[in-house]
Amino acid sequence: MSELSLPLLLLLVVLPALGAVVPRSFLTGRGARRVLLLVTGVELALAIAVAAVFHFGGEGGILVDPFDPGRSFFGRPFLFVDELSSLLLPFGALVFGMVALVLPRTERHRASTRRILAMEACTLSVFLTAEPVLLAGVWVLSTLPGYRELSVGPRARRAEGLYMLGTIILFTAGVALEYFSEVTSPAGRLADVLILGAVLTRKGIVPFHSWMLGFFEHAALPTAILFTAPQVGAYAAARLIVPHAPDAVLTVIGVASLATAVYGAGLALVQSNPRRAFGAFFMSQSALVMAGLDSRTTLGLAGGLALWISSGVALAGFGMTLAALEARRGSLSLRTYSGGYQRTPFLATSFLFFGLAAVGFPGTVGFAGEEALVDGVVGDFPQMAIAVMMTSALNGLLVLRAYFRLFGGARVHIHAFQRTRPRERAGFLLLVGVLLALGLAPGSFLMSRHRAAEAILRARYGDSTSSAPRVELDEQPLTATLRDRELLP
Amino acid sequence: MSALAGWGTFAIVGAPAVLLAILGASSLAGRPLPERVVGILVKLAFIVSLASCFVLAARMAASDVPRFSIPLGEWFATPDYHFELGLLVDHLSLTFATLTAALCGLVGAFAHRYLHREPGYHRFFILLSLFALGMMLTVLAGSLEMVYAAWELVGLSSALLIAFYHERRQPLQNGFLTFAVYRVCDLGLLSAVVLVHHFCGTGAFEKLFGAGSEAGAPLSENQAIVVALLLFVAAIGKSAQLPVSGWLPRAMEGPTPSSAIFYGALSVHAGAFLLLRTAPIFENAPLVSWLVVVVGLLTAAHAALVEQTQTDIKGALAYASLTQVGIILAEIGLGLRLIPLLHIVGHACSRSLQFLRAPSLLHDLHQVESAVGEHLAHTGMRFERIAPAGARAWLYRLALERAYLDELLDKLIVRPFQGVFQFFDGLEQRWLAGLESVLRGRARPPTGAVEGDGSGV
Repeated sequence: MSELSLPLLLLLVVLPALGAVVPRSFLTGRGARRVLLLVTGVELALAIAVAAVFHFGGEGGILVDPFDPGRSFFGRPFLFVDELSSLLLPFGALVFGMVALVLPRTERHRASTRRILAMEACTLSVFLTAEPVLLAGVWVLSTLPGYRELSVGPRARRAEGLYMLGTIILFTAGVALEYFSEVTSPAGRLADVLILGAVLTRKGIVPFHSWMLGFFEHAALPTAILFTAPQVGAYAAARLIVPHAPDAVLTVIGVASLATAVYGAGLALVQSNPRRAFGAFFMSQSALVMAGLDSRTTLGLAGGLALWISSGVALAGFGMTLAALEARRGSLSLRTYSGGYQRTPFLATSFLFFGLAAVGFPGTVGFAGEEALVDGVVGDFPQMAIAVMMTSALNGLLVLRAYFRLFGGARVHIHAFQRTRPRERAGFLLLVGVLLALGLAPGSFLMSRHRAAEAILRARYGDSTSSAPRVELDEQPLTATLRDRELLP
Repeated sequence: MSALAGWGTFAIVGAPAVLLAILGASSLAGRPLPERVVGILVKLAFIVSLASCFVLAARMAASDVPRFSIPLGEWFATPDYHFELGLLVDHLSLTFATLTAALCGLVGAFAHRYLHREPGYHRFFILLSLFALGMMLTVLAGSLEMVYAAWELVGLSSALLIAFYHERRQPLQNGFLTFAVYRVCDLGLLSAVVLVHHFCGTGAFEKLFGAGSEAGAPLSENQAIVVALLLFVAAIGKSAQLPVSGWLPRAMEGPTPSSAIFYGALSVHAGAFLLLRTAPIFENAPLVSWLVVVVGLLTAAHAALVEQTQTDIKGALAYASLTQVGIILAEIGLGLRLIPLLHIVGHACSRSLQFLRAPSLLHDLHQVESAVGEHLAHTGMRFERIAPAGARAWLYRLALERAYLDELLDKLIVRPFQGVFQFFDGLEQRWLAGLESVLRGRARPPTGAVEGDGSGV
């Protein structure tokens, strides 16, 4: 265990949280915009710094904060960074930073500065802890912006909101039950089932998926992206389910995830509403992450963890190009060829690039993740490899179909503002750069995910599955809860 | 081999890569280069590439080395997986690389004038350089994994160039159709890559096939049959063999220079290249080899028949290409190696010339007819002469409808797929609408209110 010399982890949580609780009257107009850009930018820099310290400056194992309140009051740290979360932090901060940068003016009233910062604080808090009670707390808090997005206004949606409330109830009930019961007791098992239900619902896994398309259809796209792209559900699964769930449960989750991946890809292809198509696309790709998490091999699990980040970044970019297009043209449709490539070539190229990156096109980082996932599972579970490849093929078709329909055609859009703004260009180029750079040299990235996968599988099966050098941890107990749940060796 | 050979191979691949980087970066930055500069860069890139091919060929001939590989390390690796990067230069890859550099350079020079002041001028050259890079990497790849990665680049650039004139509906539809065929058939290649890696622990050709194809692939007979079948599926897609040949004539919607290079010369032969490169696997799977022969000959016969009823010159040329590619595949299936390679080179060069000449040919014909003062005599009609009189009308109908293959695929694959997922989409929407009604305490809305969102593939 290493200790940071500065309270970077605390800052990662507190900074956006402070921004989120500033009175609304202080955050209006350009000032709010500047605060949003400043905070998300600083968060990204902090997250990169933490990842750099972990990978290059730390002693391995885990990294804790010197001013963690958990250590002062409970004798154990609440916030920590390990191999799994070391890259999730910059990933989450990058998604928030990019969304803040390219956020269209038309969406600012729904995706307000306070809401975005609150979501960022919650998301990064999730990635910084494995304490079930804390996780439950931030799970609730992170769900509220999405719920509020749907439940307010004349076109409020209660059906999708019910699913979200369901995840809150299931997760908190599961954690509470687990807190007061033995892991192996019937109550402990019931707690696992409740947590599993919450995770599957939040991840939009069949048969708990129906809210996903409606959410993407009715919510503001930036909110929907920030709510779903970091994949908090996958984190909960990696921390609370995968390390100790019975094999049969993992098999069921794996099969359901693969069914979701193929089903979502098929569903996306027959949509005429681009938002619903994006929702189904997202559901399909993120199900692959879940399928990877349930893999029994280190390589397959590493592939799933790599896809988590690569498809998350790419899908966030894909969604934001859609939001930028909506801001220019209003409601979009895939029924006809909408035209407009000549006026928005940069947006069109970005849209295509992010779509292809999300499905793991060669040259982008998703390619390495998908290769690892497919190769990792083909021996034990060939059906999974076939499903992954089918999903990728179908989603590739969706990307090109949407690209042609949204940007091809003779229609001329005469709306005054069609060209790409410098901030949009910077935001999308940043993402393109990350996806390409990691895609051309994915070695270290994949190795990091491999080590994270080893740690998860080591917690699950012991040392027998480990093929790489064991990560040495300090003998000092990190948290009793983590040790009890076998999250750490 | 010497360092010269290594640098030469790098230059072959590096030149189009640098061209792509320059053109792509300038376009992304919103400052596309002037046409004159683009023209110079394109010519320069392909001259460097072509010159490197010649140098390598001379070097190989002089040193009497039949093949050499250039290991580039690993693209990415974990303790249990290695994606090996490496280039393999032999008579097969060097022939294809030379062909690619020469034809891309020629077509680039042609397109520089042909597309002068076209709105999509820069886009064309970005896609051309992407294609050239993909093709160079495909033919020089030292492993199956690399072939797959490069194969995808070729497919994407091909589909985007078909949809080049994106303000018209037809090119967009045809571009999507082509991409769909590629994407589905590429599943075969990806599956083969994964299986070979799983069975043999590597996809590197040097390790798989040893010093030469005579060594054979380290796969059991059953494994070889499965892998060969999957590879053949990929070849079918890229080389437009039956039953998915319908995309090739539709691909003619793209600009003439791209049609020349993709569907007359290089892309359409990529399937043949794949079969030649993995020939040792097919040697272990004679049944699949015979299947290659049958499909190739059927495609050739089909294309020869359909060609007779084509009314546009590019459509006729597309089917003429298909006839030759079918025959080339049959030759490969019969176990020949040198003859199909020579056939490919000859066919690619002559067909490219025909495609590039096509736009001005009709104009010249009209001029000749005007000068002569009468229509020139019709030539051909060979099929009509040999076909029995009773079957002519039937054959004509069959040829006109392209043997109903597109309809068949539509009926058997596309529509069922569409129907199933539209049904589920309707269910999804009805479920949420019903739940919403219950939660609001209202009666359920009429079923039709939420139906029919799916617009189809």
